[in-house]
Amino acid sequence: MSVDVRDEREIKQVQGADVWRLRRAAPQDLREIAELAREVLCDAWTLVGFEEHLRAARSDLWWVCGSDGRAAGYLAARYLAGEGEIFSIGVRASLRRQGLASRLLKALETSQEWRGVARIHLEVRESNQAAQAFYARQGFVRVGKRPRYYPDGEMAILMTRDRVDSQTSMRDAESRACGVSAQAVAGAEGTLPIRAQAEVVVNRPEATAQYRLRLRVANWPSVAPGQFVMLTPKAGAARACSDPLLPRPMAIYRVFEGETSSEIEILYRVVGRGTGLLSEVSPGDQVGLVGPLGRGFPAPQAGEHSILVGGGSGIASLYLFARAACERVRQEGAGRVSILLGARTVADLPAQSDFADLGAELILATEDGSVGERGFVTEPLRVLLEGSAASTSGVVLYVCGPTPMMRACANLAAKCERQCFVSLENPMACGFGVCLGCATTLQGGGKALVCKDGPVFAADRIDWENVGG
Amino acid sequence: MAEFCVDTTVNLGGIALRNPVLTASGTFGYGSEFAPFLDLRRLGGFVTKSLTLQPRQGNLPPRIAETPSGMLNAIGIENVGVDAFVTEKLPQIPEGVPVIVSVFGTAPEEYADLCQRLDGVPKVAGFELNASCPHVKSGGIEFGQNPKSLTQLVSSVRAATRMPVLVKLSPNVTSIAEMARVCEGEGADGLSLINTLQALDVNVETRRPVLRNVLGGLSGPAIRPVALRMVWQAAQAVQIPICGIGGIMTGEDAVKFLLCGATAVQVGTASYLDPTMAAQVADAIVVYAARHGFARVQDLTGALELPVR
Ligand SMILES: Cc1cc2nc3c(=O)[nH]c(=O)nc-3n(C[C@H](O)[C@H](O)[C@H](O)COP(=O)(O)OP(=O)(O)OC[C@H]3O[C@@H](n4cnc5c(N)ncnc54)[C@H](O)[C@@H]3O)c2cc1C
Ligand SMILES: Cc1cc2nc3c(=O)[nH]c(=O)nc-3n(C[C@H](O)[C@H](O)[C@H](O)COP(=O)(O)O)c2cc1C
Ligand code: FES
Repeated sequence: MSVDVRDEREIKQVQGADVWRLRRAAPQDLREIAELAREVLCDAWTLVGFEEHLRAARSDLWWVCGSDGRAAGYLAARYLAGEGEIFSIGVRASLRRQGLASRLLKALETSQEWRGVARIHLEVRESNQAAQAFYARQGFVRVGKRPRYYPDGEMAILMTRDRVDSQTSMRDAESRACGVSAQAVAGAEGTLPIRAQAEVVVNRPEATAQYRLRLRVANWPSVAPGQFVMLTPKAGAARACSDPLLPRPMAIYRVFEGETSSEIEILYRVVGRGTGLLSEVSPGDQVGLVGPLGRGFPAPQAGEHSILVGGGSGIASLYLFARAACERVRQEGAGRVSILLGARTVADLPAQSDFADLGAELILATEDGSVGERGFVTEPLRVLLEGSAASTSGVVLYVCGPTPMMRACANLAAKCERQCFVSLENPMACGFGVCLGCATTLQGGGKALVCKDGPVFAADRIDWENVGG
Repeated sequence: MAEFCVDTTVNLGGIALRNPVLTASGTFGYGSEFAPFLDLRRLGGFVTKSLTLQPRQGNLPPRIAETPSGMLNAIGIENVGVDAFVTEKLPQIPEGVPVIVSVFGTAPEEYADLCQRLDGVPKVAGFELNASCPHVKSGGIEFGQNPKSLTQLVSSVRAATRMPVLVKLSPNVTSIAEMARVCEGEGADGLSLINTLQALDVNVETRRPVLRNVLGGLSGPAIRPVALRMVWQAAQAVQIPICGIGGIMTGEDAVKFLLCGATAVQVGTASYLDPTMAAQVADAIVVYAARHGFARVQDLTGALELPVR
C-alpha cells in the first residue's frame, strides 16, 4: 500500500482528495495521537502527557491524519532558541517505510518556528535499532550515551544533527520581520533575545575615540528603540585572554535588515579597556553578542511634542527612537519632534548628520562652542520647555547621557510638570537579569534592574542619590 | 562529528546528574532567564540564587565592578524569597533538570526551616547551604569561618531534611580541610567550593571604594588557582563528593577541578559572557574524556598524576 501524504500547508485548496494530511496537532487531535503512541511505543506518553506537551511553551506536535480522522504518525518536539529536541516519533506499523517519519521531520524543520534551530538533539533506547537506523539515515550522529536513563534501566543513545543550511530557504526570507518599523516602538520587546557570534563588517574611527561598528548577525529578531546588546570582543577561540572579562553593554544604534542576516550598527566611545579592545577588532573577526535586551522607550502619544536629549555616548541610544518618532509625526500629520544633542566638542558628535537627515528640529550644544550653542545642552532645553509652557498638548522628554545630565533634565521636567523618560547606563555584568549587579534605586527604596526593567525609566521613579550609574 | 561514547553521568552526594556541569548560585538566576538561549537539560543541573525565608532587596548600588580577569560583587543576597520561588519560579523549569536550591539565613534554624519547606517539592533535587556569602551584615560567612557555628548549621539542617545537602564553603579561612571535615562529620552529603574571595578595589579619581558596600566578593578566572588548591586540599581531607567552583571558562578548566578531586563543577561568572557557556563546558569535557581514553567522566575525579617522591 502506498500513502499519499500532503503537507497541510501545501493542500489548502485540494479539497476532498483522499490524502493523508500532515499538520500541527490541536487539542482535539490528542486522543487519536495518544492512541497511536500507545500502540507503537512501549513507553509512550499518555493522553495527559500529550496535553501537557501541547500546553508547554515552544513545544511542537505534528501528526498525519487520514480523512477518517485516524492518526498515521506523529512527532513530538520542542525548540529553544538555537536548539531543538525530538521527544518521540511514531508511525503506524502498517504504514511504515513510506517516508512518513521523514516527512514529519521535514515539516517540523521547515516550519516558521524552527527556522532558528541550529541543532537537534534526541535520545533513543539502545535496543531501538530501527529508530537509530532511521535517525542515522536522516543525518543524525551518535554523540554519547546515558546509562540507566530509562526507568527500566536501559541506556539512552544520544544523537544530534546540525541544521542543513540549505533548508533555511527563500521561504524564510520572506517571512522574516526584522529591523525597526513604527509599530516596533509599541511592542517588539516581546521578542526573545538571541546569543550569537556576530561578524564584524566595519569598525571605523569616526572622530577622536569614537567608532562606528557594524556587525552581521543571523536570525536577528526585531528591536524596539532603546534596546541594547552585550558585546564580547574577540569572542570564541580567538579570545586569548580573560581580561577584560565581562561583556559591554551598547545601544543598538541602527539596524539594516537583510534576507537571512541583519547588520546592526553600534556607535561607541573608547573610554577604557573594554571599548579599547572593541576598537581593535577588524572586519571578519567574531564578536560575541547577546540581545536585543531591555525595555526601550515607550511609544510617543499621538500629537505630542517629543523632546529628545542626548549627551555624549548616550546619543546612540536615541537614534532609533528619533527615527520612529519622526516617522510617526509624518504619518499622523500631527505632533512635533525636537532633538537636542550635547557634547564636549564637535568631534564628539559623529551622529549629528544622521540625526539631521531625519528632518526634525535639531539643536546642538558643545562645551567649547565648536558647534551649536556653547555650554550644556540643558540650557537650550530649559528655553524650549519654557517656550512650550503654555502648550496644552503633551510635551515629553526622552533622555540618555551622563548621569548628571539626566538628573538635570529630570529636574527641569519636574519643574515644568512634564513627563520625562531616561535611559540609564549603569555598569552591567550579564545584561539579562541574572547577576543583579546593575540595580538602581527607586524612590521609596525599592530596586529595579537597569538591564531588565530598564534601561528606560520614568525619571520621577528614580532615586537620583542612589542611581548606581 | 566523530562518534564517541562517554558515560557522562556522575553522582553528587545522592543527586544523579546527567553530566558533571552545574551552574553556580547567583550567576544563573532562577534558571528560566536562560531559557531563550539554552535548553537547560544540556546541563547537569543548576543551583538557584540563594533564597531566604523572606524576600530581600539587597545592597545599594554600585554592586559590581570589574577587576583583572575577574569581578567584584556585593549584591547582598537579593532574592524573591522561598515562597515566590516555589510558586512563580520553579514551575518555569522544565522537567528533568535537577534543581539544587541554595539557602541562606542568619541562624541555623532559618536554614533548617528553608530546607524543610522545600523538602519533597517536585524538581528540587537537593540543597546547597550558602555558608559563605562574604558581603551581608550577618549570616553566611560566619558559619563558614567558625567550626563551631558550622557544626551547628550542618547538624540542624541534617535533622530537618533527608534530601541531599551540599555545604558551600568560604575560601576566606585558614584551613579548608578542617571546615570540610566538620561538614562530613555532621552528615553533609557533599561540599561546594569555593564561594567568592573577600576583596576590595578603589577608584583613585574619586578616592572611593568601587563598591558602595566597600568590600565585595571576587570571582572569575582570577580565583581559579586558589579554588583548585582548596578543592585539592578538601578532597584530601574528606570522602564526600566535592563540587568545584571558581573561574571555570572552558572544558579544560573544568577537567582541572575533576582531576584535583571534584566530582562535579559549577560554572559561575562565565555565564555572563555567554549564557551557553556551561553547556559548552559540558560538551568539551566529553571531548577531553574521549581524547584521553576515559570511558566515564567519573573516572577523571582525582586522577591527578602526582610527581613520585
Ligand atoms: C544600556 C547601555 C547602553 C550603552 N550604550 C552605549 C553606546 O551606544 N555607546 C557607548 O559608547 N557606550 C554605551 N554605553 C556605555 C558603555 O557600556 C561603557 O562605556 C563601557 O562599558 C565602558 O567599558 P570600558 O571597558 O571601555 O571602560 P572601563 O574600563 O570599564 O571604564 C573606563 C571608564 O568608563 C567609565 N564607565 C564604565 N562603565 C560605564 C558606563 N556603563 N557608562 C558610562 N561610563 C562608564 C568608568 O567610570 C571609567 O571612568 C552603554 C551602557 C549601557 C548600560
Ligand atoms: C554576582 C554574583 C552573585 C553571587 N551570588 C551568590 C549567591 O547568592 N549565593 C552563593 O552561594 N554564591 C553566590 N555567588 C558566588 C558564585 O556562586 C561562585 O561561587 C563564585 O562566583 C565563584 O565562581 P566563578 O569564578 O565561576 O564565578 C555569586 C557570584 C557572583 C559573581
Ligand atoms: S546586568 Fe546582570 S542583572 Fe542587570
